[in-house]
Amino acid sequence: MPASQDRPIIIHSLEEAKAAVTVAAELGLPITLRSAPGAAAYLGAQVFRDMIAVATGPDCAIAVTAVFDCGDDPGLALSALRHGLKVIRINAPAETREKIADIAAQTGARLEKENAEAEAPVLDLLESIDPEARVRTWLAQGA
Amino acid sequence: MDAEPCRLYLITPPSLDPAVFPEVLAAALDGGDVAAVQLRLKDADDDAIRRTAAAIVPVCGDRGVPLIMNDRPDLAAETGCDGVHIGQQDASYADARSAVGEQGIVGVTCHESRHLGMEAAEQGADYVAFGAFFPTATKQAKTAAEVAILEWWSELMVVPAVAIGGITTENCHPLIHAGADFLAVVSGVWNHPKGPASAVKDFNSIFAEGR
Repeated sequence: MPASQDRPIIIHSLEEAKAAVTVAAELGLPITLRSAPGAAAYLGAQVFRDMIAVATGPDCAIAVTAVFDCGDDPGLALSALRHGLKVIRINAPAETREKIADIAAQTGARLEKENAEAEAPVLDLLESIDPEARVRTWLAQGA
Repeated sequence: MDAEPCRLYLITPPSLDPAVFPEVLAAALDGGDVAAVQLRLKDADDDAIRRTAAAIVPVCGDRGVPLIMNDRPDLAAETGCDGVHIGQQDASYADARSAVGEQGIVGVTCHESRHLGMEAAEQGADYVAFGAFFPTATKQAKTAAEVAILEWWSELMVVPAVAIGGITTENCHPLIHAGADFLAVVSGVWNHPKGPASAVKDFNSIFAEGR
């Protein structure tokens, strides 16, 4: 996996998503955008999906991995899969994860890995004055 | 020092789905006492703000929790909010008061400035907000406020002080001890590992411990 994808970024709004994608595109690096912890409960899969789609646009030249955090609610994870999201973050017992992972695989989606991905350092853009500058610094540290 | 217990001032997530958020908000408010809810959508257009306000006005109203609109006195009045919160670069205090009326709530962001706080209080603000108190690694605060400003304010002033900025159940104790009347919380509730309702409950348990 390219180093920049080991440097996930938590976005809370379209503005932050756009900033992250813009900088990653400038640097020519793939990027992982993650919703806030448990955001599925209030943000909704459709809104997150659309947010990422608008931020990347039709001509995005870099790989963007969008990870939707469903907290510990398997129902929200299934809803996210139904709305076409491709990477889900879920805190659930192994047996439940296995079932959701199986359903995800049938739709070409997957669960975020429990350890390597889930515990990687992350940049949270909440309340950033200059999100582009923070993303630039963050991605440069991983390059 | 104020003997009144500190209370929770809940700010909405920066982005949300109006179709699902009311239920989540209702669950959070049912988790325990919440003094006020502020509708703050980061980059939503006016229609999205109107739709969200329409969806949550009854949720707050049914529970007797005032709903405060961020930044926009005009939309606060139009959507039936109970008040408006303005920053230093937003509408003037006079415009805000005019929009929501004498009975409405007007709160003012004062960053880390005693001067701005006194100015807002003299104008008639119903509360002043100081922060950000916790510019952690996960948050780049616009200003860095010291807890001492809350001690100073609570000893000298009657107008309530709201503390804001990166506040969680783990780091809130010094702000309560310093005399904050309200803690304004965003991700500390919405992104709490046990969910928003548990976060509200936990905050209230901490408040119940006293100052």
